[in-house]
Amino acid sequence: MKKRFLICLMLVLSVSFVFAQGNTESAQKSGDVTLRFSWWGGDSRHEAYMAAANRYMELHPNVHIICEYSGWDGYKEKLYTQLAGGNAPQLFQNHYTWLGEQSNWSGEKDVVKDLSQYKDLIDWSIYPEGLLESNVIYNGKTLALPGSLNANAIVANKAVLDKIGFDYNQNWTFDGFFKFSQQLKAIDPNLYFENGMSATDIHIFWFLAYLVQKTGLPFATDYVLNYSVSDLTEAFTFLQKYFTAGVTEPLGTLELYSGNYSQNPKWVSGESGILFGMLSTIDTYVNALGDYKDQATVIRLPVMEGSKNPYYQVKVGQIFSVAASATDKEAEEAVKFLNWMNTDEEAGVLLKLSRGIPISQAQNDALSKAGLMNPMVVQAYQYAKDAGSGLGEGPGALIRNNEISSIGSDLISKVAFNMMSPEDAAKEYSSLVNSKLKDIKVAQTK
Amino acid sequence: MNKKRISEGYLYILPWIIGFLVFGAFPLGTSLYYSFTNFSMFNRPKFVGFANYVQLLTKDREVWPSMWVTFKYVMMAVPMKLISALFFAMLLNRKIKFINVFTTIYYLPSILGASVSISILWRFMFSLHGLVNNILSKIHFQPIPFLEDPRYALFTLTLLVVWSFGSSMVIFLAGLKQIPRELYEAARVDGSSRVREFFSITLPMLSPSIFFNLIMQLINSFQSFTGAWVITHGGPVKSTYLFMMKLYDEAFGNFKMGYASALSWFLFVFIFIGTFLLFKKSNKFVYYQE
Repeated sequence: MKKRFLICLMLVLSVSFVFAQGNTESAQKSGDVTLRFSWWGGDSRHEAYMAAANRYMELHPNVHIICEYSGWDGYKEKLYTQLAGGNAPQLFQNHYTWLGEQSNWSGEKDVVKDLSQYKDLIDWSIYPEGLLESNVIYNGKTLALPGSLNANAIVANKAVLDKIGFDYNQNWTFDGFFKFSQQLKAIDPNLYFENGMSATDIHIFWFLAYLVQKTGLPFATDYVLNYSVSDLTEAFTFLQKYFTAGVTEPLGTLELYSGNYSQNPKWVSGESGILFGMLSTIDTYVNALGDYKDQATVIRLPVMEGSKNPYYQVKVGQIFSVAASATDKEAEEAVKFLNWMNTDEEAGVLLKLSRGIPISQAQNDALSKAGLMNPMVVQAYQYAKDAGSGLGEGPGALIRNNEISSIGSDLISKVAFNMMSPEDAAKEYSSLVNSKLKDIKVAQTK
Repeated sequence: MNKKRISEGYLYILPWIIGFLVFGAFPLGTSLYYSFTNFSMFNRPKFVGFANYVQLLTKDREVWPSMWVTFKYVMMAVPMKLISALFFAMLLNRKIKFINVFTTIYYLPSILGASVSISILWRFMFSLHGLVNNILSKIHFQPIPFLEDPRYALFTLTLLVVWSFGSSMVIFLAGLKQIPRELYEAARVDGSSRVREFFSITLPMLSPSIFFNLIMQLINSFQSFTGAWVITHGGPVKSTYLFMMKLYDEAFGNFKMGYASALSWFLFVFIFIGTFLLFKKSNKFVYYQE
């Protein structure tokens, strides 16, 4: 009796497991579409995108959007694993520096949809000439669509910098790091001029900015590093001085806040003067200031005297792609939703400035009308434009290649901890990076 | 045994066999195959022979340093964990009130283990602005850069593993309870001290449990990942860049699945040889009661 009961119970459970999924799906109407939508960011961006998704679902009851959001850390690893497994969210945030490799892979297996096939569903008029070509079109395929522009920005805490009578509109150079730091330390040795970044980010930003400004050359041309050992030695020497002088906390501490710089207690408690980031991170940085929120402002980006190229670049902000694994119906709905976010005035207001400055002029006007155009973001955008149109990370953003990035951050760490001289670091950097660039050339041009 | 009984037996273990084949044997076989290819998730794997193994043994500048970091980590973590586990097992092997409550309390960290949440907690506790340094400053000690200085970071990470000594402790406790009381009584009649009892009775009689714990902890420690990844990201200056982090970076950072598979098989062979040698030599230091 007991045995029969157990067999019946197992049968009922098995049947219910098998059909449970089917029942959920059949609960949806036949014209309904469920979209998974993912992005990375901080709380303010999460709230903005969820508000936009909810509003879109109200306007289009047949579309169900499931938001999958996270911080920056681990986003790429998770996304790529999902893409390889064919179960990525239908609509996901991409990065303009990843599109090159995705385009290469597409030779064997499509990773994302070519969005030009949905040309009738997209309002192309918002995009300035050349913006898509130079950022998201690879081999004639539109791999993603941007909705905003982004640029480097520096948030400053006036409660700290007022102590040295800092002029918030001044042009300043890389020497300023040492000058302002020294002035702050004379008042209180616990104060830091800059909140600082991980070695990986210092490599992409300050290290490269220094080299681009000094030489006027991009990171690499035809897969060969453009900087001589003597240029590199100078850049490493700058970084050695940067850490020795205590412009920031020691690198070991900075690494612990990698990707979450505004959570560093020195920033939160008003003991560091500036924090480098993007237009899209200004909100997060300011909110983290807590009691000092009202003291936040933005300052200009450092440019060395006699700079040959400013480095800084206004880039596409957040870009979104449609996964190749999406069905035709899902892809169409994903594109419609994306186009709505990029062009609709109400969407622009809901998304605020969490993704940078909207590309659509109508959305910009709507934000201004709603009083949501944060003056700090506008000012920082102006400062980025004032700095001039620079080379940025250069074509293909090879400096962001994981292995090159690792070489750079290793050597910067060694110099910061006085475990290697700038001269030796420069020689090793030149040799290792050039060798890696050769490998990348073989892989990308085969 | 008749055929019906045999097939019934197989039927009972069928779920495990299916699970093992799908989630154990198949991935193992596939990863061995991938280790001889240039598979990178988005490209079809192409056979490259032993190129991945040659690369990792002779050309990759990170493999041997990360192996050395892992070796140092294992050499610190395993003895400290075993000593702590034995110490607490001996404390709990006494007739005291609420012994089960104490055993549960000491076992709790093992359940939490080196999980992501505990690792984050560790970071907040041991960072320069963390709880431990706050306490140190209250008693007029200079702050110690536990996680920020390459000299201390690896040791601080090992504390996270040592903290979760519960499972080893339970095995030691069971072993201690197996030791015949008569041995201690006889020793006391002969006038031996507690220290002598520990080294001449407890340790030899417990050696099978120690050996089992040693093997298990060695295997686990060589595969440590979470703490180093969450707390220090392998830094500062790669001082906590464990081999598993290298493997993860190759697989999910560089998407070189073929190369990462070769790295994992290299680690397997390394651990296998180590374990095999320990087993071969075990008759020298493990005493099995007849």
